[in-house]
Amino acid sequence: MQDPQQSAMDETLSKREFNVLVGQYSERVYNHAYRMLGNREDAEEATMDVFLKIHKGLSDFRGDAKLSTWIWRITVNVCLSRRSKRKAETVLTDSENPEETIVDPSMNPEEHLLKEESREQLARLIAELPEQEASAIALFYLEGMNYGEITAILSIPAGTVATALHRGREKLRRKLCVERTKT
Amino acid sequence: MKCEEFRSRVQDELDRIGDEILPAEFREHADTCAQCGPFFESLIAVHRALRHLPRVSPPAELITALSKLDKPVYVPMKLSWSPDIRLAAAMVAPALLPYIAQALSFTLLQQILEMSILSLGMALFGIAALKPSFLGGPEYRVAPEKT
Repeated sequence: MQDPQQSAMDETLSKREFNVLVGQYSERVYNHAYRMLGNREDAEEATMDVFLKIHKGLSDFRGDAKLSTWIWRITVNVCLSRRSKRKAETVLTDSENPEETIVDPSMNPEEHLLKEESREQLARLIAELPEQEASAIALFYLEGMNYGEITAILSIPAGTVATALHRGREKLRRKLCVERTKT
Repeated sequence: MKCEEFRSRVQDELDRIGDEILPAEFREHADTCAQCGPFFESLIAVHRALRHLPRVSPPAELITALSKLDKPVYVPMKLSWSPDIRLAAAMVAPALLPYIAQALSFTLLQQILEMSILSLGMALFGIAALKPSFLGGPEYRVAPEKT
């Protein structure tokens, strides 16, 4: 039979470990969820879901993958699951305005994108990208991960990660160019 | 550098080494090509904007709620029968087993088969009737405030 004192110590240790993870990952998980889902309410709920799953699975974590990879897998899966449930995503398709549409060469695109409203627009557009592209963009740019790390989290080949990144970025570029020409 | 090569390589290079140290040949082509120039400028602009997307802070209440997630609480399954009926069923069923087997048996092989099936059935019945505690599951809750 387990010593109650030992059990209490284990519990405290586990609680402490979990709180360390909350400190290390809550902001990052929340940001990822916010970029993937596009609003704060969903991001909060997704973050809660992620940490419930971490809490539930921490004692069973076998170390087959790195702890960070495991946490990001949970995060990505929770966000994707919420997105598919919501069914409100407006997917940018390749057929949308395939032509180059920058019509105002006097305006620097970078200056335009540095505006607060444009950055918000960009963030909103990430949430509208197809799942794999949005995940790859969020992990690459927000978390600064390389292809290898994204490959491990999304369980897809490096070539697919590259394609998802390129397609996602290209859709954002085209969409932003269209938005710019409208304004 | 040709336009085709430029377009097929520029995104890979951007991912691999970033825009600051992109080989000069890309810039040179972009500067001299009417089609690739605007494409390159807007691509770099999106790349930089994505890299500098502002981070958002999670609400303090969320962090507080996360840090209060308690240890899993054991929640036993709900029992469908009253304890008396479950106890009676668990005691009577094995006692009846030999009589049921004898009534059904004609050959030794049949008897062995029937005994095996009945034993398995009774074991499942016993588990279903008693619903031992290990069939329960963990549940998570937010820890109450300490006063």
